[in-house]
Amino acid sequence: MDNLIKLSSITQSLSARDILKKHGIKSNVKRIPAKRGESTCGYGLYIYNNVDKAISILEDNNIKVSGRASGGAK
Amino acid sequence: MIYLDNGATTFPKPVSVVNAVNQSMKYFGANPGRGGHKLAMKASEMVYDTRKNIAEFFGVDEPEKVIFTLNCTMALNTVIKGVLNKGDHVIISSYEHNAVLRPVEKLKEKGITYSVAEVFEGDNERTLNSFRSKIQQNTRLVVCTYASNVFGIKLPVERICALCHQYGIITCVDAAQGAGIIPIDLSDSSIDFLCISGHKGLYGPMGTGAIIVNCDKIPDSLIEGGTGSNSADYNQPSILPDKFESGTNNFPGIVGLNHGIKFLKSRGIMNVYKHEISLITNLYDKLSNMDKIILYTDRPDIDYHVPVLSFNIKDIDSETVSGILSSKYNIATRAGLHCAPLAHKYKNTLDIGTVRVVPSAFTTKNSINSLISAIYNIK
Repeated sequence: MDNLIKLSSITQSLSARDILKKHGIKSNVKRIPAKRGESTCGYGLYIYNNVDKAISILEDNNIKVSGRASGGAK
Repeated sequence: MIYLDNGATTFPKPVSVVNAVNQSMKYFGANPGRGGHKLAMKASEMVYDTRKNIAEFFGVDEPEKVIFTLNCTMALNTVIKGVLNKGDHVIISSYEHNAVLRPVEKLKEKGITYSVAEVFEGDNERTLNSFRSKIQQNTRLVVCTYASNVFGIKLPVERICALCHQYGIITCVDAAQGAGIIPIDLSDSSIDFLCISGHKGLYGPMGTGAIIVNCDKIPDSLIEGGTGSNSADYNQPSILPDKFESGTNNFPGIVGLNHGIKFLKSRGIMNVYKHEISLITNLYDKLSNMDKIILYTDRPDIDYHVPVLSFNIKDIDSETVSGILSSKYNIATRAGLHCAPLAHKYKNTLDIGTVRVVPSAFTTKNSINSLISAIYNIK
């Protein structure tokens, strides 16, 4: 399961977490693990369930999700 | 000491602010927005909570639109220098602080010109016409103060900004003497950029300020550097607030600012405002009855003034009066030009300055009475 979504900054991640919480979706702000060929030093959200729905909600709120990944502890 | 220099910075700060700063340094002093460890995440949460609080306080939906700066001057410089390009024209008011005047003066070197629109106390129509008359084809930005930091005169900022939008001009308000003093709601406002000081009317620590972005026109960054995000990219991030927050921010200050705003909310901003304006009105009335006193404004009025009062004693320069108040009566006021030569120029006090009195939520009627008595006794 690719439960980890990548976001642009810590502020955006915290904001995204709050938005999802209002929709009843639980998430945690995480550092994004380094991956070969991709930029690290970023933050994102570990989403416990309904990842697709969560992404859709965030996009409706003008928050761009720059990728998904697996891994990263809750 | 009776402290009446709250226009420079409010003092004392609420105990909750002092405690919050202390706690942040004692227990949560990691760098926010950098690491992923628990302490860094906790610090990030605390900064974000302040962002949310400020956004809500000023009626902005997204916390990302609150950009922390070190003070209001830095906020103003960021907007002014980030918006204007060669060939542009900017209008400022006749009550601007050097935080606005000096940046636009400096920009003349880059082919940017400015005009000064005169403000007319108590006559908003005339002030509005004054701004209108300065608009040129290449006017890109209007920057005006919410209220004069010397004379307390409020500008009709909403009407000025609405006028500017009719001409497609970007608007920026210097709310150093407005934020926390008067409720400012950006949810239905023509103010594009609100620049605030954190350590004055908002009761936060020094070294705090912010830009509140209320439009989609994002300026160029003033400085670039590490943001803790997209670090592999050599280019500055374009997202807010990262674009404008390079380098470690003032975490203890930001946490303190959060509690300063909470303090204001708990007291009620209008309650504090009414308290302060009643003190200033009382002072004005008493000084009006002394022949030796020169006053420079109409009687303070809640619609046209913030609680700031300037005066002089005939034949004694302002620095001497302020010095006597400090040394003999242990009363802190501020004399001179208050970093606002334009305001003094328009009031003809450039040569002598004025003595400025600014109360805070903690100022008592007794303190003002002591000041009145001291002024009465100065010969």
